Amino acid sequence: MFLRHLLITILIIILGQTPLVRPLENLAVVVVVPWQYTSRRLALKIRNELEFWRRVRELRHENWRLSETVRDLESQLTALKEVRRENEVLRDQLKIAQEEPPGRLILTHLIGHARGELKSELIIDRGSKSGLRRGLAVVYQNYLLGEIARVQDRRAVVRLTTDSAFRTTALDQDSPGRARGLVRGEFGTHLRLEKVLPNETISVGDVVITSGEDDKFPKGLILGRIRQVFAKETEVFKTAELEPPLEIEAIEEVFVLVP
Amino acid sequence: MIKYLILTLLTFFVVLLEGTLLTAIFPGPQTPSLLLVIMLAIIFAEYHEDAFFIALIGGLLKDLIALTPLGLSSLYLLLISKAVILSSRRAGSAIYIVLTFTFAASLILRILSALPWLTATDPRALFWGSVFDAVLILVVFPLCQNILQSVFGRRELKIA
Repeated sequence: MFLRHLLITILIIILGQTPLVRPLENLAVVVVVPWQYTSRRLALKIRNELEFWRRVRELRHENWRLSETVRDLESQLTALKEVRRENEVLRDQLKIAQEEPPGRLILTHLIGHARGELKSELIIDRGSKSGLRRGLAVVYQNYLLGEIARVQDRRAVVRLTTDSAFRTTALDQDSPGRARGLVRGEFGTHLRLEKVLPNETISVGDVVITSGEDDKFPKGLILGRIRQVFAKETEVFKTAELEPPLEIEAIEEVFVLVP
Repeated sequence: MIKYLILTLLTFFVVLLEGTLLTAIFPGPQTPSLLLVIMLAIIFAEYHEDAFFIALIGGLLKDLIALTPLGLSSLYLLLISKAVILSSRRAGSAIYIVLTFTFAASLILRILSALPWLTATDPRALFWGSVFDAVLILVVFPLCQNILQSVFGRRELKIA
Protein backbone atom coordinates (compact mmCIF):
# COMPACT_ATOMS: atom_id res chain seq x y z
CA MET A 1 0.00 0.00 0.00
CA PHE A 2 2.81 2.35 0.91
CA LEU A 3 4.75 1.56 -2.26
CA ARG A 4 1.67 2.13 -4.41
CA HIS A 5 1.10 5.57 -2.87
CA LEU A 6 4.81 6.39 -3.17
CA LEU A 7 4.88 5.48 -6.87
CA ILE A 8 1.78 7.59 -7.53
CA THR A 9 3.42 10.52 -5.72
CA ILE A 10 6.66 10.20 -7.71
CA LEU A 11 4.65 10.05 -10.93
CA ILE A 12 2.77 13.22 -9.94
CA ILE A 13 6.05 15.00 -9.13
CA ILE A 14 7.44 14.07 -12.56
CA LEU A 15 4.25 15.04 -14.40
CA GLY A 16 4.08 18.26 -12.39
CA GLN A 17 7.24 19.45 -14.13
CA THR A 18 5.57 19.10 -17.56
CA PRO A 19 2.81 21.25 -19.09
CA LEU A 20 0.50 18.19 -19.09
CA VAL A 21 -0.68 18.89 -15.57
CA ARG A 22 -1.49 22.57 -16.15
CA PRO A 23 -5.10 22.10 -17.40
CA LEU A 24 -5.87 19.90 -14.38
CA GLU A 25 -4.19 22.43 -12.11
CA ASN A 26 -6.25 25.29 -13.57
CA LEU A 27 -9.44 23.25 -13.14
CA ALA A 28 -8.55 22.47 -9.53
CA VAL A 29 -7.77 26.15 -8.91
CA VAL A 30 -11.26 27.14 -10.09
CA VAL A 31 -12.69 24.86 -7.37
CA VAL A 32 -10.19 25.76 -4.64
CA VAL A 33 -9.85 29.56 -4.95
CA PRO A 34 -13.45 30.50 -3.90
CA TRP A 35 -13.11 28.30 -0.79
CA GLN A 36 -9.71 29.81 -0.07
CA TYR A 37 -11.03 33.35 -0.39
CA THR A 38 -14.10 32.70 1.81
CA SER A 39 -12.02 30.86 4.38
CA ARG A 40 -9.49 33.69 4.57
CA ARG A 41 -12.18 36.33 5.05
CA LEU A 42 -13.70 34.28 7.87
CA ALA A 43 -10.25 33.77 9.38
CA LEU A 44 -9.54 37.51 9.32
CA LYS A 45 -12.89 38.27 11.04
CA ILE A 46 -12.13 35.74 13.79
CA ARG A 47 -8.60 37.07 14.16
CA ASN A 48 -9.79 40.66 14.38
CA GLU A 49 -12.35 39.69 17.04
CA LEU A 50 -9.73 37.83 19.10
CA GLU A 51 -7.28 40.69 18.62
CA PHE A 52 -9.91 43.21 19.82
CA TRP A 53 -10.58 41.34 23.08
CA ARG A 54 -6.87 40.80 23.63
CA ARG A 55 -6.05 44.48 23.18
CA VAL A 56 -9.15 46.13 24.64
CA ARG A 57 -7.12 47.94 27.27
CA GLU A 58 -4.58 49.28 24.80
CA LEU A 59 -7.26 50.42 22.37
CA ARG A 60 -8.36 53.39 24.46
CA HIS A 61 -4.85 54.81 24.58
CA GLU A 62 -4.29 54.06 20.90
CA ASN A 63 -7.59 55.77 20.06
CA TRP A 64 -6.46 58.93 21.84
CA ARG A 65 -3.04 58.79 20.16
CA LEU A 66 -4.59 58.31 16.71
CA SER A 67 -6.99 61.22 17.28
CA GLU A 68 -3.98 63.44 18.00
CA THR A 69 -2.25 62.17 14.86
CA VAL A 70 -5.36 62.86 12.76
CA ARG A 71 -5.55 66.43 14.06
CA ASP A 72 -1.87 66.95 13.29
CA LEU A 73 -2.25 65.48 9.79
CA GLU A 74 -5.32 67.60 9.09
CA SER A 75 -3.39 70.76 9.83
CA GLN A 76 -0.51 69.57 7.63
CA LEU A 77 -2.97 68.73 4.86
CA THR A 78 -4.39 72.25 4.96
CA ALA A 79 -0.92 73.70 4.54
CA LEU A 80 -0.10 71.21 1.76
CA LYS A 81 -3.26 72.15 -0.13
CA GLU A 82 -1.97 75.71 -0.27
CA VAL A 83 1.41 74.52 -1.50
CA ARG A 84 -0.29 72.38 -4.18
CA ARG A 85 -2.37 75.33 -5.35
CA GLU A 86 0.71 77.53 -5.63
CA ASN A 87 2.50 74.67 -7.49
CA GLU A 88 -0.33 74.48 -10.02
CA VAL A 89 -0.26 78.23 -10.53
CA LEU A 90 3.51 78.18 -11.05
CA ARG A 91 3.29 75.24 -13.49
CA ASP A 92 0.65 77.08 -15.42
CA GLN A 93 2.76 80.22 -15.46
CA LEU A 94 5.90 78.42 -16.59
CA LYS A 95 3.99 76.05 -18.90
CA ILE A 96 5.54 72.90 -17.28
CA ALA A 97 3.69 69.71 -18.29
CA GLN A 98 2.33 67.39 -15.56
CA GLU A 99 4.21 64.07 -15.19
CA GLU A 100 2.20 61.02 -16.25
CA PRO A 101 1.46 58.66 -13.33
CA PRO A 102 3.73 55.58 -13.56
CA GLY A 103 1.68 52.71 -15.05
CA ARG A 104 -1.73 51.28 -14.11
CA LEU A 105 -2.94 49.52 -10.98
CA ILE A 106 -4.61 46.11 -11.03
CA LEU A 107 -6.79 45.30 -8.02
CA THR A 108 -6.23 41.81 -6.56
CA HIS A 109 -7.38 39.93 -3.44
CA LEU A 110 -5.16 38.07 -0.97
CA ILE A 111 -6.30 34.45 -0.71
CA GLY A 112 -3.61 32.75 1.34
CA HIS A 113 0.00 32.13 2.23
CA ALA A 114 2.46 30.23 0.05
CA ARG A 115 5.28 28.10 1.42
CA GLY A 116 3.69 27.58 4.84
CA GLU A 117 6.81 27.75 6.98
CA LEU A 118 8.03 31.18 5.93
CA LYS A 119 4.79 33.19 5.86
CA SER A 120 6.61 35.85 3.79
CA GLU A 121 4.92 34.90 0.55
CA LEU A 122 1.26 35.55 -0.20
CA ILE A 123 -1.06 34.29 -2.92
CA ILE A 124 -3.24 36.70 -4.92
CA ASP A 125 -6.18 35.82 -7.17
CA ARG A 126 -4.81 37.22 -10.45
CA GLY A 127 -2.20 35.70 -12.76
CA SER A 128 -0.72 35.90 -16.23
CA LYS A 129 -4.18 36.08 -17.81
CA SER A 130 -4.63 39.48 -16.09
CA GLY A 131 -1.28 40.77 -17.36
CA LEU A 132 0.82 39.94 -14.31
CA ARG A 133 4.45 38.84 -14.62
CA ARG A 134 7.45 38.29 -12.35
CA GLY A 135 9.07 41.33 -10.78
CA LEU A 136 6.05 43.65 -10.73
CA ALA A 137 5.57 45.79 -7.62
CA VAL A 138 2.69 45.01 -5.27
CA VAL A 139 1.49 48.07 -3.39
CA TYR A 140 -1.12 49.21 -0.89
CA GLN A 141 -1.77 52.98 -0.98
CA ASN A 142 1.79 54.31 -1.25
CA TYR A 143 3.40 51.37 0.59
CA LEU A 144 5.47 48.73 -1.19
CA LEU A 145 4.33 45.32 0.04
CA GLY A 146 6.51 43.18 -2.20
CA GLU A 147 7.04 41.87 -5.72
CA ILE A 148 5.52 39.15 -7.87
CA ALA A 149 7.74 36.07 -7.44
CA ARG A 150 5.88 33.37 -9.39
CA VAL A 151 2.91 33.49 -11.78
CA GLN A 152 0.32 30.93 -12.87
CA ASP A 153 -2.57 31.52 -15.25
CA ARG A 154 -5.01 32.69 -12.55
CA ARG A 155 -2.87 33.09 -9.42
CA ALA A 156 0.42 34.62 -8.44
CA VAL A 157 2.76 34.54 -5.47
CA VAL A 158 3.83 37.82 -3.89
CA ARG A 159 7.23 37.86 -2.18
CA LEU A 160 6.85 40.31 0.71
CA THR A 161 9.50 42.91 1.50
CA THR A 162 10.25 41.00 4.73
CA ASP A 163 11.21 37.86 2.78
CA SER A 164 14.93 37.02 2.87
CA ALA A 165 15.10 36.97 -0.94
CA PHE A 166 13.81 40.56 -1.26
CA ARG A 167 16.33 43.29 -2.17
CA THR A 168 16.04 46.85 -3.41
CA THR A 169 17.84 50.18 -3.31
CA ALA A 170 16.43 52.73 -0.91
CA LEU A 171 16.92 56.14 0.64
CA ASP A 172 16.16 57.70 3.99
CA GLN A 173 13.59 60.41 3.26
CA ASP A 174 14.13 62.24 6.55
CA SER A 175 17.92 62.12 6.55
CA PRO A 176 19.56 65.54 5.87
CA GLY A 177 21.66 64.05 3.05
CA ARG A 178 18.89 61.60 1.90
CA ALA A 179 21.17 58.70 2.89
CA ARG A 180 21.17 55.86 0.41
CA GLY A 181 21.46 52.14 1.08
CA LEU A 182 20.22 48.67 0.27
CA VAL A 183 17.11 47.19 1.89
CA ARG A 184 16.62 43.45 2.30
CA GLY A 185 14.07 41.33 4.14
CA GLU A 186 14.94 39.30 7.22
CA PHE A 187 13.27 36.19 8.69
CA GLY A 188 9.90 37.22 7.27
CA THR A 189 9.41 39.69 10.13
CA HIS A 190 11.28 42.91 9.38
CA LEU A 191 13.61 44.72 6.96
CA ARG A 192 17.24 45.76 7.21
CA LEU A 193 18.80 48.86 5.66
CA GLU A 194 22.45 48.18 4.84
CA LYS A 195 25.48 49.76 3.13
CA VAL A 196 24.79 53.24 4.50
CA LEU A 197 27.92 55.38 4.39
CA PRO A 198 29.36 56.16 7.83
CA ASN A 199 29.17 59.94 7.29
CA GLU A 200 25.40 59.81 6.59
CA THR A 201 22.95 60.58 9.40
CA ILE A 202 20.08 58.14 9.90
CA SER A 203 17.80 58.21 12.95
CA VAL A 204 15.09 56.17 14.62
CA GLY A 205 11.71 57.18 13.21
CA ASP A 206 13.01 58.08 9.73
CA VAL A 207 10.91 56.88 6.81
CA VAL A 208 12.75 54.78 4.20
CA ILE A 209 11.47 54.78 0.62
CA THR A 210 12.50 53.13 -2.67
CA SER A 211 15.11 55.15 -4.57
CA GLY A 212 14.35 53.71 -8.00
CA GLU A 213 18.07 53.37 -8.80
CA ASP A 214 17.86 49.60 -9.46
CA ASP A 215 14.97 50.10 -11.94
CA LYS A 216 12.98 47.44 -10.07
CA PHE A 217 10.41 49.71 -8.46
CA PRO A 218 9.34 53.33 -8.97
CA LYS A 219 10.88 55.92 -6.67
CA GLY A 220 8.98 57.00 -3.57
CA LEU A 221 7.23 53.81 -2.40
CA ILE A 222 7.36 53.49 1.40
CA LEU A 223 9.36 50.49 2.71
CA GLY A 224 9.19 51.15 6.44
CA ARG A 225 10.29 53.23 9.39
CA ILE A 226 13.66 52.90 11.17
CA ARG A 227 13.29 51.41 14.65
CA GLN A 228 16.97 50.76 15.50
CA VAL A 229 20.31 52.01 14.13
CA PHE A 230 23.54 50.00 14.31
CA ALA A 231 26.76 52.00 13.88
CA LYS A 232 29.79 50.09 15.12
CA GLU A 233 33.27 51.58 14.86
CA THR A 234 34.62 48.20 13.68
CA GLU A 235 32.28 48.13 10.67
CA VAL A 236 32.59 50.23 7.54
CA PHE A 237 28.89 50.80 6.86
CA LYS A 238 25.92 51.68 9.06
CA THR A 239 22.87 49.43 9.21
CA ALA A 240 19.37 49.91 10.54
CA GLU A 241 16.40 47.71 11.31
CA LEU A 242 13.10 48.77 9.75
CA GLU A 243 9.62 48.12 10.95
CA PRO A 244 7.23 47.04 8.17
CA PRO A 245 4.64 49.81 7.77
CA LEU A 246 1.56 47.59 7.53
CA GLU A 247 0.11 44.50 9.16
CA ILE A 248 -0.39 42.13 6.26
CA GLU A 249 -3.00 40.01 8.03
CA ALA A 250 -5.36 43.00 8.18
CA ILE A 251 -5.29 43.63 4.41
CA GLU A 252 -7.69 41.97 1.98
CA GLU A 253 -7.00 43.83 -1.28
CA VAL A 254 -3.72 44.95 -2.80
CA PHE A 255 -2.71 46.50 -6.14
CA VAL A 256 -0.18 45.34 -8.69
CA LEU A 257 1.64 48.17 -10.44
CA VAL A 258 1.97 47.43 -14.16
CA PRO A 259 4.23 49.92 -15.98
CA MET B 1 -15.32 3.95 -2.22
CA ILE B 2 -17.54 6.08 0.03
CA LYS B 3 -14.90 5.85 2.75
CA TYR B 4 -12.29 7.41 0.45
CA LEU B 5 -14.71 10.11 -0.69
CA ILE B 6 -15.39 11.05 2.94
CA LEU B 7 -11.66 11.04 3.69
CA THR B 8 -10.97 13.25 0.63
CA LEU B 9 -13.59 15.82 1.66
CA LEU B 10 -12.40 15.87 5.27
CA THR B 11 -8.78 16.21 4.14
CA PHE B 12 -9.76 19.11 1.87
CA PHE B 13 -11.34 21.00 4.77
CA VAL B 14 -8.42 20.25 7.08
CA VAL B 15 -5.93 21.60 4.51
CA LEU B 16 -8.10 24.66 3.91
CA LEU B 17 -8.38 25.25 7.64
CA GLU B 18 -4.62 24.96 8.09
CA GLY B 19 -3.83 27.20 5.12
CA THR B 20 -6.23 30.03 5.99
CA LEU B 21 -7.88 30.05 9.44
CA LEU B 22 -4.93 28.73 11.47
CA THR B 23 -2.46 30.84 9.48
CA ALA B 24 -4.46 33.99 10.26
CA ILE B 25 -4.84 33.17 13.97
CA PHE B 26 -1.28 31.84 14.42
CA PRO B 27 0.84 33.85 11.95
CA GLY B 28 4.47 32.94 11.43
CA PRO B 29 6.29 29.60 11.08
CA GLN B 30 4.70 28.21 14.27
CA THR B 31 1.29 27.61 12.65
CA PRO B 32 0.02 24.16 13.73
CA SER B 33 0.48 21.40 11.11
CA LEU B 34 -3.07 20.11 11.47
CA LEU B 35 -2.78 17.73 8.51
CA LEU B 36 0.34 16.10 9.95
CA VAL B 37 -1.20 15.81 13.43
CA ILE B 38 -4.36 14.16 12.08
CA MET B 39 -2.31 11.81 9.90
CA LEU B 40 -0.18 10.76 12.89
CA ALA B 41 -3.28 10.32 15.06
CA ILE B 42 -4.68 7.95 12.44
CA ILE B 43 -1.36 6.05 12.35
CA PHE B 44 -1.34 5.65 16.15
CA ALA B 45 -4.96 4.44 15.92
CA GLU B 46 -3.64 1.65 13.63
CA TYR B 47 -5.42 2.80 10.43
CA HIS B 48 -2.23 2.79 8.38
CA GLU B 49 -3.77 2.51 4.91
CA ASP B 50 -6.05 5.47 5.57
CA ALA B 51 -3.04 7.47 6.80
CA PHE B 52 -1.20 6.83 3.51
CA PHE B 53 -4.25 7.95 1.56
CA ILE B 54 -4.53 11.15 3.61
CA ALA B 55 -0.80 11.78 3.16
CA LEU B 56 -1.18 11.51 -0.64
CA ILE B 57 -4.38 13.55 -1.04
CA GLY B 58 -3.61 16.04 1.73
CA GLY B 59 -0.15 16.69 0.34
CA LEU B 60 -1.52 17.30 -3.15
CA LEU B 61 -4.17 19.70 -1.86
CA LYS B 62 -1.59 21.49 0.25
CA ASP B 63 0.68 21.96 -2.79
CA LEU B 64 -2.26 23.17 -4.86
CA ILE B 65 -3.28 25.75 -2.27
CA ALA B 66 0.23 26.92 -1.35
CA LEU B 67 1.69 26.84 -4.90
CA THR B 68 4.54 24.54 -3.94
CA PRO B 69 5.76 21.91 -6.48
CA LEU B 70 2.95 19.38 -6.94
CA GLY B 71 3.56 16.12 -5.11
CA LEU B 72 6.39 17.34 -2.86
CA SER B 73 4.29 17.63 0.33
CA SER B 74 2.77 14.19 -0.38
CA LEU B 75 6.27 12.72 -0.65
CA TYR B 76 7.35 14.26 2.67
CA LEU B 77 4.17 13.11 4.44
CA LEU B 78 4.37 9.57 3.04
CA LEU B 79 8.01 9.14 4.04
CA ILE B 80 7.36 10.55 7.51
CA SER B 81 4.29 8.33 7.99
CA LYS B 82 6.26 5.22 6.98
CA ALA B 83 9.09 6.14 9.31
CA VAL B 84 6.67 6.67 12.20
CA ILE B 85 4.91 3.34 11.52
CA LEU B 86 8.18 1.41 11.47
CA SER B 87 9.50 3.15 14.60
CA SER B 88 6.27 2.84 16.61
CA ARG B 89 6.13 -0.94 15.96
CA ARG B 90 9.33 -1.27 17.94
CA ALA B 91 8.72 1.46 20.50
CA GLY B 92 5.05 0.84 21.27
CA SER B 93 2.27 3.41 21.66
CA ALA B 94 2.74 4.84 25.15
CA ILE B 95 1.79 8.50 25.55
CA TYR B 96 5.40 9.72 25.72
CA ILE B 97 6.18 7.79 22.50
CA VAL B 98 3.25 9.49 20.76
CA LEU B 99 4.42 12.93 21.94
CA THR B 100 8.06 12.32 21.01
CA PHE B 101 7.28 10.95 17.55
CA THR B 102 4.85 13.80 16.84
CA PHE B 103 7.42 16.40 17.88
CA ALA B 104 10.15 14.76 15.76
CA ALA B 105 7.87 14.28 12.73
CA SER B 106 6.63 17.88 12.93
CA LEU B 107 10.18 19.25 13.21
CA ILE B 108 11.36 17.19 10.25
CA LEU B 109 8.39 18.27 8.12
CA ARG B 110 8.91 21.94 9.01
CA ILE B 111 12.62 21.72 8.15
CA LEU B 112 11.91 19.94 4.85
CA SER B 113 9.20 22.48 3.94
CA ALA B 114 11.53 25.39 4.73
CA LEU B 115 14.30 24.15 2.40
CA PRO B 116 16.17 25.84 0.69
CA TRP B 117 15.35 28.91 2.81
CA LEU B 118 16.26 27.11 6.05
CA THR B 119 18.93 29.64 7.05
CA ALA B 120 16.35 32.41 6.73
CA THR B 121 13.89 30.68 9.07
CA ASP B 122 13.72 31.45 12.77
CA PRO B 123 14.76 28.14 14.49
CA ARG B 124 12.82 29.00 17.64
CA ALA B 125 9.62 29.20 15.61
CA LEU B 126 10.31 25.74 14.15
CA PHE B 127 10.90 24.35 17.65
CA TRP B 128 7.81 25.89 19.24
CA GLY B 129 5.66 24.96 16.26
CA SER B 130 6.67 21.31 16.75
CA VAL B 131 5.95 21.53 20.50
CA PHE B 132 2.50 22.91 19.66
CA ASP B 133 1.84 19.97 17.32
CA ALA B 134 2.91 17.50 20.01
CA VAL B 135 0.44 19.08 22.44
CA LEU B 136 -2.29 19.16 19.76
CA ILE B 137 -2.09 15.40 19.20
CA LEU B 138 -3.16 14.83 22.81
CA VAL B 139 -6.55 16.26 21.80
CA VAL B 140 -6.70 14.99 18.22
CA PHE B 141 -5.63 11.36 18.82
CA PRO B 142 -8.51 10.27 21.10
CA LEU B 143 -10.96 12.19 18.91
CA CYS B 144 -9.71 10.54 15.70
CA GLN B 145 -9.68 7.11 17.32
CA ASN B 146 -13.31 7.38 18.46
CA ILE B 147 -14.54 8.79 15.14
CA LEU B 148 -12.70 6.20 13.04
CA GLN B 149 -13.89 3.31 15.20
CA SER B 150 -17.50 4.46 15.13
CA VAL B 151 -17.48 5.20 11.36
CA PHE B 152 -15.19 2.49 9.96
CA GLY B 153 -15.31 -0.14 12.70
CA ARG B 154 -12.79 -1.24 15.34
CA ARG B 155 -9.34 -2.10 13.98
CA GLU B 156 -8.24 -5.55 15.18
CA LEU B 157 -4.53 -6.01 15.84
CA LYS B 158 -2.93 -8.90 14.01
CA ILE B 159 -1.34 -11.43 16.33
CA ALA B 160 1.57 -13.39 14.86
